[in-house]
Amino acid sequence: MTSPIGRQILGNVPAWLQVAMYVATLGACAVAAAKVIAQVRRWRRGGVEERLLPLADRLRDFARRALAQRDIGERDRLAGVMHAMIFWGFAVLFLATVLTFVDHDLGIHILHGPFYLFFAFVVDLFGVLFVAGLLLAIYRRYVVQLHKLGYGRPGDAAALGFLLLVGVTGFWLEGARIAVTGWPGYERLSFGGWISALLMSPFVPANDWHGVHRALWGLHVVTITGLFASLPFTRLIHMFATPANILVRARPLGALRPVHGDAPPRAALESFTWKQLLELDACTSCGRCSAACPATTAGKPLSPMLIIQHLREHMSGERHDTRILGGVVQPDELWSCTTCGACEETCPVAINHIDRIVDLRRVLTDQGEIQSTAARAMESMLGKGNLWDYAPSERARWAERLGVRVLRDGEPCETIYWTGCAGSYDEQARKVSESVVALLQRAGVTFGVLGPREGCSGDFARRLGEEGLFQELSRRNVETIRTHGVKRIITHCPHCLNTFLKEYDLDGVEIVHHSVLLEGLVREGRLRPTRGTAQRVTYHDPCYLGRYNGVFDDPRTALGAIPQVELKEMPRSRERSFCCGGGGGQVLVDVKAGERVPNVRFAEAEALGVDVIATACPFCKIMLAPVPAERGLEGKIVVKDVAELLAEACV
Amino acid sequence: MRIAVCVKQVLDSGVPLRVVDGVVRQEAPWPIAHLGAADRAALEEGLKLAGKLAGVVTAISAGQEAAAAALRFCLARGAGRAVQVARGDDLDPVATALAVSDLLAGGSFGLVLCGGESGDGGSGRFPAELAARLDWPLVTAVAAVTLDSDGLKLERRIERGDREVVRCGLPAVLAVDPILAEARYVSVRARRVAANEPIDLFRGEVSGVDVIGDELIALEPAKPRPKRTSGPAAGLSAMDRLAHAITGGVQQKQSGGFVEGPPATVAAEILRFLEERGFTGERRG
Repeated sequence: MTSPIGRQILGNVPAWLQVAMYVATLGACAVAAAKVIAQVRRWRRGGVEERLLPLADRLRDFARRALAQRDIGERDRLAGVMHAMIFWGFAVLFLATVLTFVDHDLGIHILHGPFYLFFAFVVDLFGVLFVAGLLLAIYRRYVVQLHKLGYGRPGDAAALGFLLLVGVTGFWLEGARIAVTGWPGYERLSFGGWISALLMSPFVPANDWHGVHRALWGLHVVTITGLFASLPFTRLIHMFATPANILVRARPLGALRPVHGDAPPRAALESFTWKQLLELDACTSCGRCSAACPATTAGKPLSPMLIIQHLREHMSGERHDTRILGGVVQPDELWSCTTCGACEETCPVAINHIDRIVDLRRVLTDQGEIQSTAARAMESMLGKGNLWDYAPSERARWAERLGVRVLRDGEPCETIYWTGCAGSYDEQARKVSESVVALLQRAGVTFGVLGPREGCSGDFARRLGEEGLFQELSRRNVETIRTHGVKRIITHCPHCLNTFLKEYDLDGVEIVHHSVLLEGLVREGRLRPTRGTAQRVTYHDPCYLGRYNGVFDDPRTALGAIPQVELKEMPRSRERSFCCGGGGGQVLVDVKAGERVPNVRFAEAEALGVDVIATACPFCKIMLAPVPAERGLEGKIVVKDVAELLAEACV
Repeated sequence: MRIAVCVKQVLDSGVPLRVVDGVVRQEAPWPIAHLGAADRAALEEGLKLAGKLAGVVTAISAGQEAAAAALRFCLARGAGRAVQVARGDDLDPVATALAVSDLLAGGSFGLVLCGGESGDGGSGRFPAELAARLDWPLVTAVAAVTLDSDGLKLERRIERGDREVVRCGLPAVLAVDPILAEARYVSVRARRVAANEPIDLFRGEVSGVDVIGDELIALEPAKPRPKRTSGPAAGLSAMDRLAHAITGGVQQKQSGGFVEGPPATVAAEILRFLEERGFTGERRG
């Protein structure tokens, strides 16, 4: 026997209107499907994507980003709450519609009795959240007009309006249904509809409820079918594209898309991968990437969001530019990127901005369209194995003075200290090398250096778009490392570390950054930092060590072990650290616009009132060290590596 | 128009060198060599002109392995053709110019661009010898090139940052300054592709002169140029020599002057001046 408690479905709707609804729904689905298919065809113009991430990782990512909606609120709590309200509201309302269909059209009667009471309450609850989320979205975008949401697309307002209309007419319709069915008391659990009915009552004569119900039903059907048909034509296409993009995520941060063969790189949609084209539709232009971007912050001509959105416009035929380079994307945008990864770290929909920027840099570099400083550096990398045009024979001069074992050709050595170009030649960075060596010698670590046989890792070359040079340098270096039978590499530089870990084929070789190794030596008691002077220190996370490779705690622990060091954190630290401005080959490229990125970062440290900015990357030190003198703070704030501070304390 | 660019690969001067048994060796685990800066500028300008004129650049280098390497670089940068003049790697500039001129004389080149000075010897003789052999005009120290209907309009780099503007018909040999054009980066990918492109060999006989390669014996640090001094002439009397030592000279210093008038008058005055000072062989009667 059927319970008296239940949902009346289509009770007041004549058969011809019901038929019209089904036809309209099918029509809307057909329009939407045709557009989605057209977009899929566009994505398929892209090339093959080499996926390095295992399925388990991608599923975990999907659960975290798409279902739990965690990343959306990472840097903007209110936005996270807002989106979760809309997302889960829409999902539950959609599920409710499906259950209604199952009950009515498939004859599986589930919407009655206690389940219906539960259903009625939950659906209204999520309906209210849905409407509230939409109002919040409208408030942020059109009332407050948040700067990061400045990029608008035609149809944005219509999409939000359609969604809101669906939610509001849903409550009106529910209210009318409650009135038509004689105000059954259990429907109070459908509180949204009940309140709507109460609010409408003064304006609707009792005899007119049937007509009003039919009219609202028609309006609701029109808004729903209209919404469905228009979904893929607006930014709401991200409802399909974003989950798909997260599921097919290709690579971890720090492993760039490899290039095979000797065909010249092209700036065309076909030269992107299908995944990169899918990403264009997955982007919701939420602006988080640009808000986190150091280049954007410093006033450089780069906005990661606009690069994605302009390419999307190009793919969709919304732009007049037929050229990507020099039209859709300007070279200065590309050369402003420090590849710090802040955009990718903060992107809630797993877009790989850096891959695309480097892909386009590859075209420029192959055409010789690169600043002369970078060009000279890369010629030096190829010819001399370093980026500053020094002779290879000079590479280990500093080490010879310290009695470090410089390996002869092919001489076996289990542990090598990979000093890198900066650590070998640059005066600032060489002080760090000398400190590391002093600490290793003190701790009794047996190691050697390759000297002239060590070459640039090619990180800058690759990120400047010179894939061929990177391949050549990596081939030489891997061959050298294998020839010497190396089992462990202590890297001086986080850029070498990342390249060795994620872009070289060095299976079986342990790669460790000097800050991690030194922290271990302190923990084991092999290094005893006993001498200290009172100093306030802030630690600047190098992007390629922290965000790229998750090393946040070891350098801080090592600094904490030094007596009288007071550690202070900058507002932007750890995963959200702000780049020094040197990554991605920016040490070699200068885009004049805006402020210098290191100056922006330095100001953040200066505001803390620290004496020392500690870091663990030679290029961070090179970028930040000159700033105090520029700001008249010479001697008041110094930039030092963790190794230097430890060496001073271990005397 | 066919444009020829003559190039030479030189050892990188930034790497310490040693001479061992007459052979220059770098202190490096691998040889480090490249085109000289002026040659790179010549190549860039050649490519730029060829692009404007829908022409083709032919890169030419004389020698063995180093020449082939230089030509592969030119192909990677965009040269349409490469010709290796198959001679020893140690040809001197005169011999190289003779060999290359035989190649050029057989072609229909309208313009030859060379680096004004190579990155190693730096004598600057090659373009001059080449132009003389071809009997074409030579413009040196070229810092800017414009091609118009009247031929070439060139800027020469002269002292103190000044520029001299000259006109020159075609065909011509230009010895270019490194500032003429900024060298563009040549990617490793392009170099790899160029490694498989053909290089034509030219084995033509060099006529009239025995071509013998220089033999390098040692590298020596540059000696300071002798200071120019003016001693008293040997034919002066003792009194005049003493006067020279005390006063710095026995002749009264004559001030210069301007000669004005019609060309015939000016020419006659200049000739008279030169004859008085013994610059010409004999006095006119």
